Amino acid sequence: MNKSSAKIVYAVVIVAVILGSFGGGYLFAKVLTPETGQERTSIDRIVSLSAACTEIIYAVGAGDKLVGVDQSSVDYALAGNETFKGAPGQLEDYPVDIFNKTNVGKASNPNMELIVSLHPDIVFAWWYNTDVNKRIGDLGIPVVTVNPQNVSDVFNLIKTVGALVGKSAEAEAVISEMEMRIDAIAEKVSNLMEEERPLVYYELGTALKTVGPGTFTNELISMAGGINIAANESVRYPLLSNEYIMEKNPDVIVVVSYGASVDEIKNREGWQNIDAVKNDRVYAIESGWVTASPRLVLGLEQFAQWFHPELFG
Amino acid sequence: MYARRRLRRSLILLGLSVALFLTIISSICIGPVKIAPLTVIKILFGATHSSESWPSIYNVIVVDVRLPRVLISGLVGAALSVAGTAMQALFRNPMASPYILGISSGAAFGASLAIVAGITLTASIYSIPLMAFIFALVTIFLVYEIAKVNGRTPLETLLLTGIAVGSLFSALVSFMQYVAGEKLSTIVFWLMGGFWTSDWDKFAVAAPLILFGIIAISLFSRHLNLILMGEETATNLGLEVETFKKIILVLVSLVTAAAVSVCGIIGFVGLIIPHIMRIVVGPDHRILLPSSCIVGAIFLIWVDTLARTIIEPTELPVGVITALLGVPFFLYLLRKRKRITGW
Repeated sequence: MNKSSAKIVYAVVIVAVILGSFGGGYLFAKVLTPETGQERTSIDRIVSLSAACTEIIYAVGAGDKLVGVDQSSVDYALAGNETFKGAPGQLEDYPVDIFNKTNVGKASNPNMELIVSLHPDIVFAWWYNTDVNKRIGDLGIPVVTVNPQNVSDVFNLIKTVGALVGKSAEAEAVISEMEMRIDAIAEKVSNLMEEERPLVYYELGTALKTVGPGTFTNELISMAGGINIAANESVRYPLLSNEYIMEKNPDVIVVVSYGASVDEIKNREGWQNIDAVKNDRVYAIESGWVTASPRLVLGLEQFAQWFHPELFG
Repeated sequence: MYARRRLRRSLILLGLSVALFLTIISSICIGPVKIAPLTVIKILFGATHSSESWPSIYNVIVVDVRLPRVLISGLVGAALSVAGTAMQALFRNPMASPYILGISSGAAFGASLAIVAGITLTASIYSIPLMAFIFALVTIFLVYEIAKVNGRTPLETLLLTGIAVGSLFSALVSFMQYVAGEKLSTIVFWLMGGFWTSDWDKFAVAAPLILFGIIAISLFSRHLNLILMGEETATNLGLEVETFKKIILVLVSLVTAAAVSVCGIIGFVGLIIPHIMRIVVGPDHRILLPSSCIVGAIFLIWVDTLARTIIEPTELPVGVITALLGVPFFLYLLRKRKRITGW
């Protein structure tokens, strides 16, 4: 393979990424032809600094192409095998196999020389670590930055990642399974009246910090037939006041798995009067189920079960 | 007697320079990717990757990853130490640091504006360092102008104004963090300071400013000695105190802003290295400034080497280690030699 055909491959990558970016919310940053290193014919060595991409890569059956992953990709696996059970796509290997990949550190300050030494053909990264992404691009490694903001962005992301790693059919299969399972829930909750939808307070890792409009979890809550008490806040991740939550009197409280414990929430001063606590509807959700990955359907199904046990018992 | 002192000074600086050179070479040999020191040295002295004895990627790692990083951490260490030494002399206060006039909070605000709000002055990807640099200078200008009374800037007023303006910017940074969403971690890491994105572009931007600032400050060593005796005495000895203050503040701001803009906020170096060197070489700025400069560089290079290797592959924020290592050593010296230094 000569240099010009290697360039063609890169042109294809660029076009694929640009096309993918029309899906919305998905950004293309920079694809550079490396000046050093061997020529590459296809994408065979991937470094992922975005746990969502790591998961999608496994889901479409390209886990063997991953050579390096960031810390949070590993952290997801630490939550246990059972948190991957029943997910769309081929995720069974993830929680075991991920430990065979080189850990390149945190996504916001990864170890540059480890990344370089892995000879990646491409790096997947979150869009917001601009400094890091530029640095990797400057070192001659193509960087694809991703920015999924909602469920339809996730579909686009799966499609693009699938195309890049040569697993388009598998990606389509993942997407259609997700759509099917999402539709099954949508169908049941679509007929619910406003007053049949429970008020939900969702807590992040910091006490009283929650998710507002424009966030994934907010979308999932409403798709599962709940009403987020912070859905109309002006900030995406608002810090609510204690009395506001008490006054709203949520029917269900969900706390992310790395946040406060269920007992701690139940024993908060004054929260005994909140319906969710009175009726024992305080739950902890696995954090890997509420991100931009195929497992979001697990989160959605879990939410639906908690919000509407009568429908999804 | 005088000649002996000069000789001692030259010997100290010669020894420190050798130590700095050895530090640079040996820290480049250390990293998560194990490259034989001999190979590193060959690469550093111009061997190309056409030679078959090592993978070509080693050249990239040594020349484009480690070398700029080591040089930038050295520059920043030197910049903060010299700036700290000058500020401690100017304020005749052992608590003075390069950040005392709120420059770090201002820079942090500029950076967080660029990170969160996307407010930038150029479309360049360097908007974060640039915004940090500009807001650092804006802060110091604000502080100086507010503190000015009848054309004079009393040091106490300057200090208090610096604290107040700094607090204001800190509050604004907190607000930016609150609305940052997923960019929160970017701000937090920027605030903790680190060198993981060091590259030749950053070196090219920071090096001239920092070197210019350091050399210019060093030219004022005798004046800094004078000002230590008090403003009145210095005036009587013929020093234009107000002008001198202004010059030093501008130079200190320049080097500090340049340092902060390439690596975020790294604490303690600018506070502790000058003290340590004052204990070791004495309070004469003709020796104190250059030795603080070199030791600051050596210190930060080693600290950053630790930061990038100690819990591989995760990088620790440099600021955490500067404090963990620097403070106990500093306290030890302080207890041991406190009668001599006189602060």
